Amino acid sequence: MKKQIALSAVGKDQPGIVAALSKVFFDNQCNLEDSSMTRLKGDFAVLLLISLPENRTPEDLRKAVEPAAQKWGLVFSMRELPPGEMEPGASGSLPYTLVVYGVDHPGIVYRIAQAAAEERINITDLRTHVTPGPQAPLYSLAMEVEVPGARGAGAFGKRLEALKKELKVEVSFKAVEAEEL
Amino acid sequence: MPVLPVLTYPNPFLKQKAPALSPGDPKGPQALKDLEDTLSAYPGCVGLAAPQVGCLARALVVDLSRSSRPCENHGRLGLLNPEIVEASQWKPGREGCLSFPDLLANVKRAQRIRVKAFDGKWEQVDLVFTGFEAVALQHEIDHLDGILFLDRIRSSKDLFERRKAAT
Repeated sequence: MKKQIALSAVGKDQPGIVAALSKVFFDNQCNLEDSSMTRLKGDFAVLLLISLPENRTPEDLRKAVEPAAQKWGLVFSMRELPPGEMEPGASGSLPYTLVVYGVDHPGIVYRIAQAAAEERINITDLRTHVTPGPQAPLYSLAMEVEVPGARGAGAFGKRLEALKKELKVEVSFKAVEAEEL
Repeated sequence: MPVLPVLTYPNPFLKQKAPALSPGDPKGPQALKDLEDTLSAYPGCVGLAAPQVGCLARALVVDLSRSSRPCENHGRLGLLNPEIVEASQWKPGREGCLSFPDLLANVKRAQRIRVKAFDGKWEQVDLVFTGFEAVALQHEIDHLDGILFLDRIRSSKDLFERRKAAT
């Protein structure tokens, strides 16, 4: 059975990191599947799923990645996915996008994420930015969430209205629209 | 020639809906004059709405002839009480805003709109805009309703920091 590995790595941003890592996977006949890589200020962060060929063990891959990670100054960790985690998330949930922005202060993400967790809303993607702003630092956050049914969306929407006032932020919470072409 | 400071978020003016001007109100042409003078002071800026300079009135200017992207345009245009009466050909594109100097976002806008409005002499106009000029108009008309471009983001991947060229 196919083995899947989740690998995360982070280190000082510089040209060559993606090439160095993907060379290790290529040389070891691993397939790079889903991945998300981005620069956060001066650091480069890598999150990826790799499938291993039959003749390689997770330990083989770890030994192959180690020298590259050392050379490029990356801290990395990896784990094998159990079969149940190799499938995408639960079906039947509704995708929504949530955008929040306002003057930066501690607790914005925590309060929003806590409300989501209490409504059984799953955050599937989250991006945040702190930008200087001429008057005060601006915090902006955009996330994709999975809502368990329309009633869940309504309940979360009400809590967001309350949080908007309390946290003094702007909030937009909308169902994801996809156009079939 | 007053060049007014452009307000940035979180200035509360930006989230308010501006009331319509009464036809003939001299406040309208005055607002357009101030907006034009202010726009001229920001190179590369193609549009400004009155709430961005602290004036709660339904007035805006666009000037796509200043755009770094060549596009069809009406030149410098000041509009009062603008109203979008037709919108079609929706497409996402990347926008910035003087009121959020460090952010960019992908926003879906109509590529063709028809706008009814009054000009600086309070004469009624009925104009069709296409492409980037249509996008700019929608962005400015949103300002009159207290809607900012971040309110129109439809995906977590549509928000970006403006990367400044290294100096």
